[in-house]
Amino acid sequence: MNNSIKKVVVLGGGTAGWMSAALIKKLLGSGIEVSLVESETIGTIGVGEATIPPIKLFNSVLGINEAEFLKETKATIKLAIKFDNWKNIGDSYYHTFGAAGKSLAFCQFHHLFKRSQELGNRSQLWDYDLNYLCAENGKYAPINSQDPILDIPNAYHFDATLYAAFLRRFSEKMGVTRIEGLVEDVTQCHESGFIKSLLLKGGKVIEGDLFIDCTGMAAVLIQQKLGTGYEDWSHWLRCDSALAVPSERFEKTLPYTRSIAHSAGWQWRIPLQHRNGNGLVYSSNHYSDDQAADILLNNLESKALSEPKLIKYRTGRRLKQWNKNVIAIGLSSGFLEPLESTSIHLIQSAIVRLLHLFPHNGISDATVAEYNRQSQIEFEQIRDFIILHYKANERTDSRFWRDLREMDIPDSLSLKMDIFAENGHLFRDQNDLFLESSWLQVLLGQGIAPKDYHPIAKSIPDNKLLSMLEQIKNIKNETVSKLPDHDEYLKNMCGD
Amino acid sequence: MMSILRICVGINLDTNIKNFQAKQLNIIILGGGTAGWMAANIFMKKWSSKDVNITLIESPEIGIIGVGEGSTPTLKRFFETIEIPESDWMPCCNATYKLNIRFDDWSPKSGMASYSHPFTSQVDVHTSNAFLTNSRTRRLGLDTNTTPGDFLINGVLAQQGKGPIASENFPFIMEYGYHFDSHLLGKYLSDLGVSRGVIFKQAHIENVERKSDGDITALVTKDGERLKADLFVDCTGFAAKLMQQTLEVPFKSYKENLFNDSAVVMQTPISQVVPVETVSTALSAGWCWQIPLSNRFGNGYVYSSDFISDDAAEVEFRTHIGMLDSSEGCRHLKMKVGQVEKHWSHNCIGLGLSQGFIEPLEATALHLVQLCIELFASKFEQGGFSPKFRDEYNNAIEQRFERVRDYIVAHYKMNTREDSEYWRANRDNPKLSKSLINILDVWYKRDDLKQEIVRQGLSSHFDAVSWNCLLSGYGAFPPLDKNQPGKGDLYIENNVGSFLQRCSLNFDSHNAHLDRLKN
Repeated sequence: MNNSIKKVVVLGGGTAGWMSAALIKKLLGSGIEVSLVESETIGTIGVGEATIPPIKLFNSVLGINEAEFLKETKATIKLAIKFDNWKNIGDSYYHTFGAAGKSLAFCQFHHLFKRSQELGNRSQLWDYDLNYLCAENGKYAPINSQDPILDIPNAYHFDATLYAAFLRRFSEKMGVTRIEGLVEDVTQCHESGFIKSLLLKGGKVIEGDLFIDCTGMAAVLIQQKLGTGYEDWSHWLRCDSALAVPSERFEKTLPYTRSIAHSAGWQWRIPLQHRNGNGLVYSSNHYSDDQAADILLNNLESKALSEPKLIKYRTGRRLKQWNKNVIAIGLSSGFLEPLESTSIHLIQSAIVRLLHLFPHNGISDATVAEYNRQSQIEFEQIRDFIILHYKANERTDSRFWRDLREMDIPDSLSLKMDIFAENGHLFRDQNDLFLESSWLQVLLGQGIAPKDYHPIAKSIPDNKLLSMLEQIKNIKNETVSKLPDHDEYLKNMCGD
Repeated sequence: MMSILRICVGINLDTNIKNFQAKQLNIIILGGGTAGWMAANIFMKKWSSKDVNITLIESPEIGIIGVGEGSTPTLKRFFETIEIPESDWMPCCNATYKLNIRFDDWSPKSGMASYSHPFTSQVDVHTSNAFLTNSRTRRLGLDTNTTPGDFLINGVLAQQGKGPIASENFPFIMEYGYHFDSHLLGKYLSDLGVSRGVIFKQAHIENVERKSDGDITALVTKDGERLKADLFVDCTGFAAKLMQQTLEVPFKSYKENLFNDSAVVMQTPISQVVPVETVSTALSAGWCWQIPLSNRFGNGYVYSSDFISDDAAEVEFRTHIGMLDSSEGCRHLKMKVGQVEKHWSHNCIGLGLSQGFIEPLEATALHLVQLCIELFASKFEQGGFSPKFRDEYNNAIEQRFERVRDYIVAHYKMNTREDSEYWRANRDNPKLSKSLINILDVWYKRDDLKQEIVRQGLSSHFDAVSWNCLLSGYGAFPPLDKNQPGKGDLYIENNVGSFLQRCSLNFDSHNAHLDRLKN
């Protein structure tokens, strides 16, 4: 079985399946045969509609034209997530993809900012963040400038089903073979337990050297066949259900996702070109599905376009995302609620990891172990970041939030929170997807204010500091005022 | 300038009314399909006491489409208006009774393999509220019977294969439509029209003469004959020779709402028991009708050529109707869905395909033709060619078309099929009208649908019962609540089943109905 890998079989054709097939074929090219087995009769979850900035890299590696992508997937620009009622009812903050201000050598901007507050500065941190200013004003266009202060990092909101269809066309053009069929049986090698082939309904046999399991929560290969096991995180992340419903678009397309906390869950609102995506993530211990549907429908800000779709899940991760010759990508590898829009990113990052470690000369235990180690760290880092939103809350309106405030959290997270509260220091673990600016915004937004700032922030004279901040704010505000509306940008890119 | 204009219009209007009341009115109907002959017969009947000349011109070179073979109850009203009994026209047109449309395989995922949209009758007043209430409580999670056909007399009769003519002691008026051979119906109405004084002329029109203000004055035939009239009725089908080719009234396409643009049609032998319903079965890229006439079935597959080729559609169609090995040919048709921006322009009205087309899913083609004729006649009697009444007519008909379109669009929007991109694209299509969005929003939010239908003034298009048939029929419901009280199902509590069962004893089989007509 330690033969070289020539035939890759992707099972399942949702977003995960087609992203995997596309990138593997693109980068490994003619040496590898890639086929994808999917059935028209199985629906896709297709609610992962918001992304984070690395998706731009994914698209550009594939050589996807941005205008075509925006048009085909009815995509919009995403600059931030706005969190409402998370710290307490009535409070709001943004987690933008940008960064506030400008950091000095050895001194992050928020230390300078904190000092300026002592000097009487009444602005808020986000007033120095271009993404925030664009999001609030509904503006967007990429800026051609070498100056990082004028960067507007962005991601997209898109229709995940359309994205999968788009990647399918793209993949088939590159030579990925699509096979229509339902898996009826799976054959394994007696000695190694490696998967040898899939038997489809109707008798067709699909052989492969490496299988990518993109069958969503069904986890047909990694779990149903290989019994890999699952680590449950529901003691930290207590929501276990989601209802998704599309609604009519707003007149103006907002360039950010909104997340509104309710008494036992939270609601997303994602603007696409043709509609809004909405959903409620909740704990079934606190809401019945029916109650949840009422809450969701009553809190829609535009007309519902379909019956809410119910999704039940268990938060956690597959113990080994790579087991034998099966790699789980997408929801088969674990589930983290979409609070920070990480589902599609996890797909992307798993594919990239697989490509780095691609076992073209055969699968070795060391490769598998390294892959699994990296996957675990990544899942845990994202998990911690999501837990932070729940843990650091000041809500007193429900048992749900009170319990969360008192729960034990992973050590990795409490360390981060403690250090920040102490002296405002932020550190980013190696390869953590979320940069310091992300942690900063959520920590501050959730009400964790550092007691002190870094002493370097004192090295600048008072006046100079205040005028520097003023200048940054002016440059950013002036930049925003010159930018077109988000809708105008989309129209330019997509036509009418 | 404005005031001069107003005066001119005033004078014009005045003379027109006078024209109609006192002077002779000459009408030319161009095109001899079903629409043309329906108009000729109604005008003839309605205005028989007035000095009206009606000429129908048909081109010997142009055939008629003639596939619209199902009707709604308005056709019954049509024959009542022109005073023709069923025993006279039905046997001539191989017609059968139509009580219901059955929709198969439109929403397989909801567990509703099939549902009925029966025509509502007077007696349904006793049961339809139970249906509306049940479908609302079901939306709230309660386990209730929401099968439309179980609550309406025509649904029950259709299940039993019974006809709609009751024995004398049944005290309610029944509503129903017909299935018929549209070529034969055209022929029948043509003979009738001629016998009642319509002048029938076979000629090919080559030119249209117009006045400086744009009104049509005359049609000029190939042989150079000038046929003058005051009012022109364009029944030239998709060609829309007067409305679109001559008057250049713009056409508003519904392509973005309704994807289907093609059809393939074929006949098959009739079954021994002749059904009283049209069956509409969803296939991979559209749907297939099966219409029972007294001597054959008419079948047709309406599909979108963007999603399936004509050849593949024919194979799928033949397989579905069991004619794969038959050597008989199929007819392929192209269709253009949408409506003209004005249905009455200058002194010309469009009727039938020349004014627009919505696919035949709810058999609304002739229904719309008749509503147009009736409304036109009433507006014209009130105001002649005056712009006020013309505008009212145009607005009303435009609304008609759009609301019918919405109801059809809902059939696609609500599907739960997973077998092709076509169905997913339909489900995800966000191009919905405001009116439809409001209806669906009310439905999803578990609010009162009937109130919304009334609020929007939609009852005259498709009423709350029809909308509930559709939405319940698709099983568009949330999951059932875990706690069921075991009561609240009005089908059981109001004894709806037994009531309708007893009603149905007043009716005999459809075949017996058809036999009676022949004798």
